[in-house]
Amino acid sequence: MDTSQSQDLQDTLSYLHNEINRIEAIAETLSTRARDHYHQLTNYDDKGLTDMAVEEQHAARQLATIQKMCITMAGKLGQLNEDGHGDKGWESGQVDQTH
Amino acid sequence: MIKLIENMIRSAIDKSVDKMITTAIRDQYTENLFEMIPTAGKIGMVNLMEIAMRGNHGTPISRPLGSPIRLSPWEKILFNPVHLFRFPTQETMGIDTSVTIGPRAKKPMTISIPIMIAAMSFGGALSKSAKIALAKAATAVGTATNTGEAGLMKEEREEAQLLIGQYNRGGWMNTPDKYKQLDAIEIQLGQGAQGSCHQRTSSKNIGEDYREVYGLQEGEAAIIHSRLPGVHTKDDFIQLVRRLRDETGVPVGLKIAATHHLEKELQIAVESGVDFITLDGTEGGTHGGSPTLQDDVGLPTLFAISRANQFLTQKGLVQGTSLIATGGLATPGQMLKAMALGADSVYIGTAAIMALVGEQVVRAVPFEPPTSLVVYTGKRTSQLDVDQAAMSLIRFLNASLMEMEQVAETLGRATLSDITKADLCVMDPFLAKATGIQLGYVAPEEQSQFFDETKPFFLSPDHVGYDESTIHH
Repeated sequence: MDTSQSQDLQDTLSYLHNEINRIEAIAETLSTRARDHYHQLTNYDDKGLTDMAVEEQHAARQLATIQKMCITMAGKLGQLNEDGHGDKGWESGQVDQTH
Repeated sequence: MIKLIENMIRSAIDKSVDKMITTAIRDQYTENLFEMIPTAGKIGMVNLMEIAMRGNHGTPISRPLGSPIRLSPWEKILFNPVHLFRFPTQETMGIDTSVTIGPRAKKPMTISIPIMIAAMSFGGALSKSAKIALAKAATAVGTATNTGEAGLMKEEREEAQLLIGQYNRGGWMNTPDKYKQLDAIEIQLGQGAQGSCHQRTSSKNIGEDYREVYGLQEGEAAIIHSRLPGVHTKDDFIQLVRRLRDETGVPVGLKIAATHHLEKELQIAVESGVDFITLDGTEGGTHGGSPTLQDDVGLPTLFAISRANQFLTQKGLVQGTSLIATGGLATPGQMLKAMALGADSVYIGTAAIMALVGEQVVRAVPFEPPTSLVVYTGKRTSQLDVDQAAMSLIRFLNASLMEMEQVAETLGRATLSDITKADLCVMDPFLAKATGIQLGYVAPEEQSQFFDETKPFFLSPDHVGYDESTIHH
């Protein structure tokens, strides 16, 4: 792989890493929101709203799972970058992190 | 008028009961209908009826849903809440319920809740609509469902976001065109309610849709062999696992009936490099199986999981090899205790089916059993509302998860998978000794002293001359 291709790969990995971090942050926010919805929707004695609350609660868990999967994927991308370049690359702060 | 009829009925009942009691008291005991009461007490009502059924059929009878005998003493285990020594988890914090099955696989499978839908095959066990309802519910909650010993049903694959397929002893899923469509592969060598015994579904119970999924000819029976086709040696099995892992990249696991030979079976499983191990305790359910295989064969789920966890811990494989518990797990407490004992996740079968049927039970009873709505050969399968059934199961799973989360909160744990034996105590010294859970009778620092002082009560069979040779003869 020549220097230009290597740089392209590093840029792509960096882009993916940043986006995955963003998805993780969004999933966390939405998960918290969905959990709040569960509590709000169960305030009413209505079967339909309770079913929506149940679905919100499951959505909250699945968003938390997405968050966890993003953390794992971000870690793997970081490892890929290290393996490819023998240094920390953008993991060590060359590229701005989302958070 | 109504009052008059009511009084007449009361009077008739009064006279009939009086006559019945008087007859029961005066008649010779050997000629007395009352003899049925002590007889049923001696033999058991279930056994009494099954004796009559055997006498009528002349072939092994097929009891649905598994053994009524509950051999795993889950009720003797309790969780240990915390207050100050460690603080409870704050209620505003969500409890992490996700689990990754087969973390060493190229494509591990992450599920949002640690409860999966157990292997229940289309045709061999359930109707198409029941399988679709299970798949819909599993997808809605972010978990996996299992094909059971069947071929790949297109509709199930489409509905299930995560589908575990059984590489089975009937051979119906064992070709690349099928198993490459799965999210995890479970090599099925046995099940709690059947051991590794063969099973046969007669062609009279096989419809066109069944034949299509299984690739059977008209008039051909569906046979699950006692051995997996092509696997006759330990090396055959090891090669199969390696080939499936290489070809697919998805987690490849092994499912067996729990047995006292557990460690010997697990040794071969870990040599093969399986990503997960499913242990089905003797309490495991089935669409129908002989009472003897259900009641008298296997090892209870609780001990199977505890022993497997100890085995994997000793081998240093507890992190890389997922352990899945199944067999008679009916309550969230039992499921969470299985996880605390070392299971990464659990499968539920009977509980899922009961939840699925839910309120729709009224469409079957009193003239048909509730399962007639969901089993392939059931008389009421066309009356099952798939979306309503899926929603009942979604609600059940949410309620179960929330109860498990409540326990995690009071234990001061942030994730369900962080709950371990250290969060348990047990109300039986033998169980404590066998499972490594602390005995609730005495303080943690007095455990050693208690067991030292009571050593004579815990002599192993080796100390009383009870070795394997005596077992064989």
